[in-house]
Amino acid sequence: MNLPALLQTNRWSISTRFLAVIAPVLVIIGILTSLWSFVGPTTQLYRQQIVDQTTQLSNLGGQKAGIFLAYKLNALREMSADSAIAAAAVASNAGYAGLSEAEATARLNEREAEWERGGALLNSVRNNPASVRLQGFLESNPGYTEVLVTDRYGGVVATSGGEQDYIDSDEAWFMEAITGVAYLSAPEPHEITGEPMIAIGLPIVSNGEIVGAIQASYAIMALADQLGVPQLRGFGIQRIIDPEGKIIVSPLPEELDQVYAPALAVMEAQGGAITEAGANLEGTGLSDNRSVVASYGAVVSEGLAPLIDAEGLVWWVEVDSSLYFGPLNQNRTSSVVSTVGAMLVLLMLVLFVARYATRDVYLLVRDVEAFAKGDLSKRVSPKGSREVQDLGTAFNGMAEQIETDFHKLQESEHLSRVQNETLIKGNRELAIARRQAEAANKLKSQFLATMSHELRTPLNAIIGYTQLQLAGMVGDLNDELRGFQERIFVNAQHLLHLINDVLDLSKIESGRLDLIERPYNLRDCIDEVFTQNRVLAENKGLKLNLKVDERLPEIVIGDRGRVKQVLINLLSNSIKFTDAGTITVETTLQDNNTWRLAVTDTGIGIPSHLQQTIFDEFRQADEGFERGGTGLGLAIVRRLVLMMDGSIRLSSEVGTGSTFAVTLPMVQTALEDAEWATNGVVEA
Amino acid sequence: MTTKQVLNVTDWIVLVVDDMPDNLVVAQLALKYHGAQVFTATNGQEGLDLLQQVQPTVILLDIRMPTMDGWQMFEILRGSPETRDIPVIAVTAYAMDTDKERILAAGFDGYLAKPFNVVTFVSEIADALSSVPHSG
Repeated sequence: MNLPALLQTNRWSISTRFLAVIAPVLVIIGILTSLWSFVGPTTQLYRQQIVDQTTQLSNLGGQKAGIFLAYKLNALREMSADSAIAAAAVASNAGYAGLSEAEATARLNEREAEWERGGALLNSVRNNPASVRLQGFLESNPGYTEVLVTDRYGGVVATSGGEQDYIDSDEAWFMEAITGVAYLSAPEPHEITGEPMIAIGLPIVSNGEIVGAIQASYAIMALADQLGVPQLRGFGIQRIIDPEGKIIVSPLPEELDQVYAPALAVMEAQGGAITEAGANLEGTGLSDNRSVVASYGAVVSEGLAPLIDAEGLVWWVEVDSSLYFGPLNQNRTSSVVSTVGAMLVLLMLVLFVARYATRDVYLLVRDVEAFAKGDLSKRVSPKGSREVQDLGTAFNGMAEQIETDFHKLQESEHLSRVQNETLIKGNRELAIARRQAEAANKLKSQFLATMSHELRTPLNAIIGYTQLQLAGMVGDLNDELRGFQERIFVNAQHLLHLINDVLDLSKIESGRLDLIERPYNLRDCIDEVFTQNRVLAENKGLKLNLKVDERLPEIVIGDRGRVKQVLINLLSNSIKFTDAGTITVETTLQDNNTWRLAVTDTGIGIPSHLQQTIFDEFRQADEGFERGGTGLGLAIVRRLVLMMDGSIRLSSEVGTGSTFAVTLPMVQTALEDAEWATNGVVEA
Repeated sequence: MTTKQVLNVTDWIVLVVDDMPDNLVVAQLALKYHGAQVFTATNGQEGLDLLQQVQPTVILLDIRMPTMDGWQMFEILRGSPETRDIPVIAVTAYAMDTDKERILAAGFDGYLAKPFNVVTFVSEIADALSSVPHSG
């Protein structure tokens, strides 16, 4: 799985994501840096630098050695040219003048014997001016340990001191020096101190003649010290190597005068002698050892000739590059360590930065989580970067909205709960009230029914007895008594009407009056009422007219009883309140669904201030009772009309008469219904 | 009533059951005026007892009465083969439309609301009886 996929699938924090991206990069950079320190140009450069420096060192060393050797040799040559020295040799030579070779040899042996005995010769030699000069030479030329001068026969004529043989004629240095050639020995251990010494022999020339030889021992290590050879000790080594490949100067006494194989190899490669300075060490055996960087420079000094042929001497420098590279390796290690350290620091920095950068987000998240857990009043305090602040501000806005909405919701919930409770309570109360009302209504109905029954029962007796008398069924009455009985009868009838009306009204009011809607013959119904009341009207001397609209259908659907009751009430009302004139019942078809019933009389009329309340209970006009009204008739009419979805209108003028006009809805019906209505139980 | 022609019902034996004596008297007078023979009882039980001795042409039965009301007596009458066929007309102060319906629906042969019209009382009873199928 690659990194983008990982980043996509894992719920890592921003810090982790930073790390996931940066850490591999850092590790790669670290590895590359470490590798670079091994193979990069720095190492090569450094190595080359070491080679260059070594080469330079060898060249400088060669030059320095040449100069120094020349200086040392010159000091000795100057000494050889000293007049006292030469004089000592010349004086000694004089003793041999005229002697044959054999005689000369005899004299030399003689003098040697004397020298061995420690006689006058020894003393004169050691104390003569030449020896004093030699002692001075030693003092002013450190490194030189012994110096002596011989005559031309090899006899010692001056010495800086110490035990010496008298005759040096058989010594290599003498034999070479007496021929005019400078002698340079290989280093040899000092007889007493064991210190490596080289012997230098020079001819003493006086007046163009070789009169003797001078020889000095030089502690080669002193030369090495003075040339700075030991300076490289611990890192490498510097040597002076002669043309034969022998080591003549070295900080290591044990290897002096030893043939040095690498140098020999170089010489062979260069055709017998080292003539070039350089670091070409191929085939030396040193080149295989990578830890060694070697170089050599020729010891060149014009000043050495003709005393010493310095040609072929080389200044050999070997540097243990491993020691040089040691620090570099250490450097490298430390650089790796520091790189890794830097990486770690960088990683931590990255982490820190990431944490720092996301700290605000974390704080935000913490607060947001608190909000999410239900603390709706929680607001974030956006700090830090602009993005986080924007986010925080946006969140706060959202939180504000949510909290407000939530509170609204809570309020509305609470409200609706309260409303609900109120509603339930209200419903309960309503139900109770309704039950109570129903119970009360039932009680009322029961009471009315009972009342009606209990009133009718005595009325039956009253009316019965009165009728028996009036009808003459129980004997005859005189006129006065008959009059009384009639009054009793009228009043009892009135009481009976009153009871009936009250009963009707209370039934209407309590909603117990149900309309029974069936098909019936409207015209018959009207005729019936008209006929019933005509006698009443005529008895009062009134004229009763009936005008029936020809368009009025015979059969309609409705509550015949209630229609009849309305008509009866209106008609009897008019008869009651009309003393003379005409009462007209007029029916009109208004439209297909409405018919109108108007009862017009020429009665006393109703004052306008009473017209509004005439339909209220017990609101009949003043003379009402006297005329037999109960005060309930019109109230019942109005209620019945309203029940039947109709309307009633009154127009009246006092002294002229009144018109009660009822408009009722009408449903016409088919003939079959009419026949059914005619033949059915409806008429019962 | 302007004519003096009186409905003659001398062959009638009428049992009137009513708890109110005055009403019994009025009914009795009206019936007797038309020639009927009248027995009276003040409650259902008395009426039933009386039926042990009398076979009435018609029973005029009040509904609301102490001891045994009209409903109970009617039930017993219709429950017994001996009395089942005697026409029973309710004469009651239960005068509402619903009362009339209920009474006729229960099987009464007629219904007269109190206060009844003494003048037309007997003729109304005669009308009711004429519509009873088997009283013919």
